[in-house]
Amino acid sequence: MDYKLLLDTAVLAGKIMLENGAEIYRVEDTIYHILKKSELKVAQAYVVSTGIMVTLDDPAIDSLTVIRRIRERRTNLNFIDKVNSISRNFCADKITLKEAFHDLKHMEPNYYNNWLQILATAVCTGSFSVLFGGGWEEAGVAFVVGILVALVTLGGRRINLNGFLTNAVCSVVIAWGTILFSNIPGVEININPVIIGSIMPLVPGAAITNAVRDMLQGDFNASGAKILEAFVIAAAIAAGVGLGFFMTGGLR
Amino acid sequence: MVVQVICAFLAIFSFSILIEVPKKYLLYTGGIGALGWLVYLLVNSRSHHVTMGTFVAAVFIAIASHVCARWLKSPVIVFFIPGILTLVPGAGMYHIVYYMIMDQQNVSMNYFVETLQLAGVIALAIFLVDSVVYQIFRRK
Repeated sequence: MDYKLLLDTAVLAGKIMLENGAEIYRVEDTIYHILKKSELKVAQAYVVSTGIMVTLDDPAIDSLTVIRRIRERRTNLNFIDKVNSISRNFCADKITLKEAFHDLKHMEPNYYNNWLQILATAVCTGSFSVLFGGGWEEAGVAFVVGILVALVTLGGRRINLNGFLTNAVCSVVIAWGTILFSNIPGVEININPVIIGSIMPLVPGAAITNAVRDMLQGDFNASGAKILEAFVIAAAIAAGVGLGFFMTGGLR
Repeated sequence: MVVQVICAFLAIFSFSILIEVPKKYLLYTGGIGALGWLVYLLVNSRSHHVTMGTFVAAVFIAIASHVCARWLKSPVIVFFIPGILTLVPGAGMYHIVYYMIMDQQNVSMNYFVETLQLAGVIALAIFLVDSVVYQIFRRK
């Protein structure tokens, strides 16, 4: 067996999972399962939220060690699901090592196109405003605000804006847009459900979830980092909404 | 209530698209979100505390996610992250800022405590269900 390729495959799988928001223990577990196919004595994976360290050792070979630094971070459950099924198939001997490596290297980057993402954001904000006590008018306004949010998010991604600023600018646009709409004569809306519904796609649900799950597995490093991330996202949203209110001359 | 549940389904379905849940799972995540919201509404109509409804709904969503994950052979978080979104205290976060700007610090602090409670209760629900599932499957 080509141990070098096996190690590369395992690390690549781990890297993709970690970059796309999987829990630490799942990343370690996946790497470990792939490495176990070598049947060597020592197979260790040490993963933190910013990097991966993997080593493979046996009396018969020189030890192999790989370190990977992780810089990007986002939530993309499609990649996590795909890597999961590739590693399952590989461990069950349904595909060869080469095929597994090839599949990992050539995963399609974007599952849903931009138009669909814009529409999805708008539907999401619209429906959430109903959940938080809005009527059809509020849902309509939230739908339009959702389109603005999606445009800002996509624009931010294009110019590589960091997460904090993207969230803050989105929230400014939400508060500002909503108040602008409520000032149009003939539009009688309650701004609270609209704003709450519109910030829902931005709230740190994924960070909270992963923080708890990592903590349960004893990965306190990663868990603490995720809790901080949740607070930073919340602060960005709060600052943004506050700024938006001030820009429109406060609340009447 | 029917409108609310349909909207919860739409909201979670479309949010799943945003975090790129694979196409074949979209109906499941939407369904988990909608049923979770239904549980939340039912419990809240009988109790005075929002936290109770959030807790029961979060436990329900966690169990449903684990069942779907085992059944469809996919990681749990694929179902859990979108499913739990309806319960994440976005409203609380907004109210904190709103009342702070309106110069009503007391109300703002109330919402701050409530938001922390809700986040804590969600965490507790995940802890509970994950631990139980872990114990069950380790014994086998």
